[in-house]
Amino acid sequence: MRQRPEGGSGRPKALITGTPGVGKTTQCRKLAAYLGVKCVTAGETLRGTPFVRYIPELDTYEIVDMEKAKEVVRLAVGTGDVVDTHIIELSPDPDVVVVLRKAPDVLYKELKDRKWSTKKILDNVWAEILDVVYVEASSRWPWAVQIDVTHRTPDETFEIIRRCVAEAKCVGDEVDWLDYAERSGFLSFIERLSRLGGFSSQPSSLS
Amino acid sequence: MPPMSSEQQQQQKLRWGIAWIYSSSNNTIITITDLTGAETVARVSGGQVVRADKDKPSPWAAMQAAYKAAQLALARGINAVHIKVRGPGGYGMKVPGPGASAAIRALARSGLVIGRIEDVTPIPHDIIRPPSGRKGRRV
Ligand SMILES: Nc1ncnc2c1ncn2[C@@H]1O[C@H](COP(=O)(O)OP(=O)(O)O)[C@@H](O)[C@H]1O
Ligand SMILES: [Mg+2]
Repeated sequence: MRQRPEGGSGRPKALITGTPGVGKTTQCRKLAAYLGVKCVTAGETLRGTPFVRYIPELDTYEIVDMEKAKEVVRLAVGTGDVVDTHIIELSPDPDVVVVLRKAPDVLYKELKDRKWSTKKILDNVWAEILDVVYVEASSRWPWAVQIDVTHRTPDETFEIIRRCVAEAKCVGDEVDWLDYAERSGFLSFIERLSRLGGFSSQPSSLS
Repeated sequence: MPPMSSEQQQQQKLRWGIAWIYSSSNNTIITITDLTGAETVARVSGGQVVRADKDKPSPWAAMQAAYKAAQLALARGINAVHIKVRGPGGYGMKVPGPGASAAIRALARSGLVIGRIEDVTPIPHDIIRPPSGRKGRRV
């Protein structure tokens, strides 16, 4: 029989989600420290398990068995903990769902600083422009709220999240990056960049 | 030279472009480019065809925007398009969202010849990503 780790298989207090680079891990750790619970980062939890496979060209661990991966995360999460992941499917049902948002041009700079491949940066920036994580989160948990971190410090963002969790006072932001990207010219920039590399014509299988 | 078949004749008259449909939870934008993607011949957003912000994400706005983009493309000599859709569909969904579907239907009814339709919705990833090959969504 599988050993159940201490505190596993519970209902998390909060899920902090959003596109990579928006500030999930930072906020997850702050919130967990404040609540005196664990911050469970799904990627870290799955790394080194047999249910993911490392793909060197992409510098990414690909989940090969989603059901087993979900189980691993479920067993790592105790009631009251905080979960950090951009893959909605991996998270158990939480009380509070926070989707962090960052203006796509600012996110682009953040991801460039990480020295990621252009393909990886583009996938994430497009996903942020098109609300991919928010659409998935809010279709599963209609009470999901968005917080725009673009012009907020990590501390200011944390105070909003803290109120959501501790005082059940949760006021989210409206976000329309598609409109913003079009008006600011960033959409044209990212379109050009996508087509230069031919990234747009081979969506799912590029290294 | 052998005479051309009617199919070949028809193909000669087709000037292909690409219709990109970007659909978010708030808006839909249709961009029609040439085949290389280098030149934009039309771009219309949901915000250009409705008055109220709350109507921007509606299938109706997407339809109107797609229709308008098609008219611009036709006027500029593009009469056939391959469609590439970027639009999330929601948790576990097998189709892109309502804006994207409405835009595709509108393009098909606009007088443009429709070629391949491809789902190019981005999947976010960092050190971890969902299984590949799950993308086989229908559009
Ligand atoms: N609330 C915030 N507002 C703006 N930037 C933030 C915020 N929280 C974190 N950041 C910054 O965003 C970057 C990415 O943070 P990280 O927590 O690693 O993101 P993720 O886990 O979502 O990939 C870091 O440079 C971090 O300092
Ligand atoms: Mg992180």
